[in-house]
Amino acid sequence: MSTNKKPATKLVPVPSTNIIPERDVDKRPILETRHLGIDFGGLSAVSDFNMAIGRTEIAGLIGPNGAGKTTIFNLLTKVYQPTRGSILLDGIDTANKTTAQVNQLGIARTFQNIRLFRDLTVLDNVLIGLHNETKYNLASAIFRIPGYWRKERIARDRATELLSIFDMQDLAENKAGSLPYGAQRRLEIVRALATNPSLLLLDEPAAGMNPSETGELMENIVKIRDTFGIAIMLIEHDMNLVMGICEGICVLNFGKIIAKGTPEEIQSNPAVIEAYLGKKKED
Amino acid sequence: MSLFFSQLFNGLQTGSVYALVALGYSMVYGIILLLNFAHGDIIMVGAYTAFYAMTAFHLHPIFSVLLAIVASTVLGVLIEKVAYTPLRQAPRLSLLITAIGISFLLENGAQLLFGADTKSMDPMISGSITFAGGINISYAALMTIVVSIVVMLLLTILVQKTKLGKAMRAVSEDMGAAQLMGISLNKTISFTFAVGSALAGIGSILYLCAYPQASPTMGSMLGLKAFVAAVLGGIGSIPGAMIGGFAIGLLEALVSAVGLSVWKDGAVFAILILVLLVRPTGILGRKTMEKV
Repeated sequence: MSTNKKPATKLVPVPSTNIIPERDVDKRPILETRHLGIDFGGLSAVSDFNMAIGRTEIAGLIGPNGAGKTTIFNLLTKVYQPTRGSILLDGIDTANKTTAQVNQLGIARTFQNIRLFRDLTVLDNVLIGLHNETKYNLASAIFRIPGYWRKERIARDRATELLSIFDMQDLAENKAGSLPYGAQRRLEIVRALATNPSLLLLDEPAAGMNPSETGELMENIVKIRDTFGIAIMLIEHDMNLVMGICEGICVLNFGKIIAKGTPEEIQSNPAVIEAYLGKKKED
Repeated sequence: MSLFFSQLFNGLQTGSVYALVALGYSMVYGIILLLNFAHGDIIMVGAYTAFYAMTAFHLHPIFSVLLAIVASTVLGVLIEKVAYTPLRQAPRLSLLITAIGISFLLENGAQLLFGADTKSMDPMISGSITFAGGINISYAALMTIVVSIVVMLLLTILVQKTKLGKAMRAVSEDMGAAQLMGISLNKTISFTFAVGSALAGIGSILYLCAYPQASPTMGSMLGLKAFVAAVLGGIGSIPGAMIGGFAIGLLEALVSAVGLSVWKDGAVFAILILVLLVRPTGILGRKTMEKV
């Protein structure tokens, strides 16, 4: 089975050019996938997924339930091993990398259903994100020699600084599991940022939020991109959010890309409308 | 009254050993949900190492002790790498059966190498101290209690304050999310086994202080009792293992003190049944919900 063959059922041709915002044009994309695909048993969950994301782009991944959006996040982070195709992160093939190594190379993510370390404090959650940034040896930590205190203080300052993005520094000593829902979602983003990513994957960041919280989240996502100068890719069902902040959007249905483009192009794309609303009955 | 205090210190002495061994059980269970039944036999290997280092090679006791701890640590990590790592994706039952297999391998291997008889040696620490009121406590008991409390304090700092400890807690809470934070699973799990086995090594030395003898099956009963201690405290919980260990040690001393010493082992396992019936999560265990 050739991976390059276009499936016969495809409704519109996939644009060969990727949607990369102007400021990122002529730069190497931070993420590029080539013919990425995965099968679960006989079922092809994702196939022929080609996408590139600019270095400071906010990209959206949308599609109906079960389209394979989270599967793609799991492929990018190597939670699943791709059956076909390749993933290039900043030009480096991640084929033989583990999940932890991919994170160290620069992909961080949040989860659709929040997965904080609930029994740990807010600060510890962020410090775990800073795990690979903090270097000291074990003996110095147990016997508390000065080098340990210095590095520990740097890590704590950094963690507090990151928490202040969302005004959460005062919650540092609370247990993560005791935070209100919206704060848990924000903490997950902070924890992901602590790993110093170049690409941040957000899986339904606005799920369960009210319109004013979503509005605040939109501002924060843009702020994070501008402050850290990183690329952000998000899965979201809230079309106001997606159309409001994404520069490039990729629409997925049954594991295949059915459209790629700017928000305006996507909104008027007949294949997208069909995937979301169904086909008009011809009688 | 003086008998009561003597028994109390006896209980705390054996309790310290149980607590150190229970910590190893609990830490490994907390991180990969494996009841490492080979853990008790690591103590046996530690005890034989110390025994031969002192009797056959006449090493200084300090070196022998260090050697026993190193041997236990290396063995624990080796078992993890050779037997458990390849089964990480396998069902938990396969892991459990492998652990029992390793336990048999170590016990019978020791029988083959060292013989089935019990090897006795001179007590490492002798003498005792008499307090006012006629309370007589052996130096060995005092040292055991002090050493184990110091070790537990160090362990608490390690787990609560260092980044490796935080990584361990993160992996134990959510393995997947921890990996996505850049935490290496293999390193963290090996580190957990290393710490747990080092504690078993220290436990083996403290056991030798109380009963200066080594036999191939010495680890199995000690391991089982420590397992009961871990379950009583709440398996997976580090303070729970400490509490459980001391509780089991004191219970044994109490049962002996009232003249029922033949029922000592029975009482410990009755506790296991009781805990599983009444409060399966143990004293400090957290209720777990199946993830969906």
